[in-house]
Amino acid sequence: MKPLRISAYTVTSAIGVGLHASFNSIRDRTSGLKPCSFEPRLDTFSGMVAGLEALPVRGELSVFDCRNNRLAQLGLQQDDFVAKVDRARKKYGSDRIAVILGTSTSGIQETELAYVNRDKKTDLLPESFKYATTHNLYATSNFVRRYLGLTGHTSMISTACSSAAKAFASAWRLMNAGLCDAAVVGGVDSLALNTLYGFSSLELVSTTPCRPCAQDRSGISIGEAAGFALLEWPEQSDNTSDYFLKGYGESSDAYHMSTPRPDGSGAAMAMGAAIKRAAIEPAEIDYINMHGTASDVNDSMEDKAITRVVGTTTPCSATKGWTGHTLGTAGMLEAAISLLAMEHGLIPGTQNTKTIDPAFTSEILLENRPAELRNVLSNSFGFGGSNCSLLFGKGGD
Amino acid sequence: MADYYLSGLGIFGAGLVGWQTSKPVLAGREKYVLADLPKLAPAILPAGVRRRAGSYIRLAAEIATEAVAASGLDPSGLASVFTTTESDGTITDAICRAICEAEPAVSPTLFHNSVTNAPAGYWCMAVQSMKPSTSIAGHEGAFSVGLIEACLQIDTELNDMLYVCHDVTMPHPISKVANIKSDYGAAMVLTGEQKKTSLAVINLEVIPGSKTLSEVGIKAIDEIRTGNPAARCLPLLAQIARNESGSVVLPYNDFQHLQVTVNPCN
Repeated sequence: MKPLRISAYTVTSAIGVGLHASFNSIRDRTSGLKPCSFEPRLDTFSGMVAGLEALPVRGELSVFDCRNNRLAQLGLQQDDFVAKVDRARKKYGSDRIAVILGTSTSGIQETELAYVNRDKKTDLLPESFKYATTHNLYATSNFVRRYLGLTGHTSMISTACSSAAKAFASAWRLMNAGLCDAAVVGGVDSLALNTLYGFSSLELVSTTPCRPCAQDRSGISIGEAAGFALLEWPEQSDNTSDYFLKGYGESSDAYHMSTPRPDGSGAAMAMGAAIKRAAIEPAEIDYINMHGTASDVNDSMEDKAITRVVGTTTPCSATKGWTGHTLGTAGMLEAAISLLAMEHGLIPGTQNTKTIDPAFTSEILLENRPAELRNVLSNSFGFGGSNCSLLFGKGGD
Repeated sequence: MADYYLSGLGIFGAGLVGWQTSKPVLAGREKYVLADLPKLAPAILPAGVRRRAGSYIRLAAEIATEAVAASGLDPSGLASVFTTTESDGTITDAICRAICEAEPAVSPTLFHNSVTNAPAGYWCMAVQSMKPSTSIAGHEGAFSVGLIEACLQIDTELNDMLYVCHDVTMPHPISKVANIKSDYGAAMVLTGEQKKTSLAVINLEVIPGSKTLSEVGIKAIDEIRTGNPAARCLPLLAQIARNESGSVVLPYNDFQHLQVTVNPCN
């Protein structure tokens, strides 16, 4: 497919506000996972973005104020992202830049708080509760569109943990059809009791910082993140970024609502489709950023899928030991980590993991490794069997 | 954008159950009769899934089954797009109540059914489709957002598509804050080439939002249209039901509308 230039990108998660801090945490092997102060009753670690309580959504957009949109706002304010979108807006027009994001639960914490504060007699939620601009699935895409002064296509993809990755695919299709000239893609998901207690009920949450691909892995740590990228066609963009979206691949497991297909065939289909679309050979992939949640079944099936698609020598790692699993925005967070890895020539290792599962056959790195990277594959797999792989590359040719 | 063929339809709403019975009503040839919504038990879902599934999952399976059967196509070969505005409010309500308890206990079944793409996941399992599936939200413009996504996948992935757009009512008290008056859904099979089953060819055009939105022109049906974001597609279905060439203008986003031009295939 015709590659799309990543003209700008930014990410904010437990390992840092913005790209610089995020990369430093990876380079210095500093995990963002801490005992879950968001919900101390749960014996788990989480990847929380500190300080959101003191960072309300700016005045004229205050109707959108909630944790998810605060996180979106903090994310937008990093890495000169707003100014870069502004330049694109002046060039293409505000109605020619789409906003396509991913989330799993949007601002659901706002509804949780409304239920906590509901009238004990009538069961009614507080008058001050603004559902449509906080928890409704569209709320954060609408907020980001307004924050950036855009007036075109606006959508929110919600396919659980593949959501933000699929936003890149949706953007390519819209741009390819000429329905917009540029797109702001990304994802925002924030900590909420629904997900913390929900994943706990499925016995998928670890009581320690998560250890992806480890022999003794014991489940996920939940995190939160906001990240965005500006996509443009290289010939139209005056930007000089040398990083591109070269391929995407999507598939469905058709197997189980909360367990991936154990043989990894659904995941392999998505990875294979991304490689095919990029018109490269599997051997040209220099690094795979795994979905790597540290759940028993995910990591095992993903190892099988990787081995099937690229063999046993391509360096791979899972970075959720740094950030936690940021659910609907994991695809954007890990796209950003993949791009940082290419920019800095550094493959992240697998934080927290001491011994790789001896049954695994793919080349999983525990330590950071300097390397020249031209093509990087990033995997995201979600509940409902929703798989998406993105292929990022250096040089658009 | 190219031309797309509408090669199978499913519909479920108050007094509008099934395409064949709804078609003369939407075309204005038969009188609309308001009726209670029947309880759905879509046979395509395995019994265990069906028992635990709420109306959000059941309605999608029901109308998807109808559209696919009408298309005559193998459902395992269809990629899919599912659109919703509110996802599953019954589960949101149940989990939010549970976490208010002194010792929160969330049902694992409810939690894994709580993802927006639960109807898509169960559909793909039921028909064994490993093709891509996207679940997408677009508020008032949800139908248009999803229709565009589905049609573009025909262009770029060369897939035949199942497109399902639906929303279901929410329980008290969250029902007070979301504008879903009654359950409604429509499903369509969209293909890049004409099939024997094709009803109409459609063409999409994004236009400035200053134009007036289309109505069905039948008061009770237009009340359904404004009472559920998924039902904003009813003017399009009415245009198809009339079996006449013409265009409808549907909501898309705050600044743009989607104009869908319909030409019958027969």
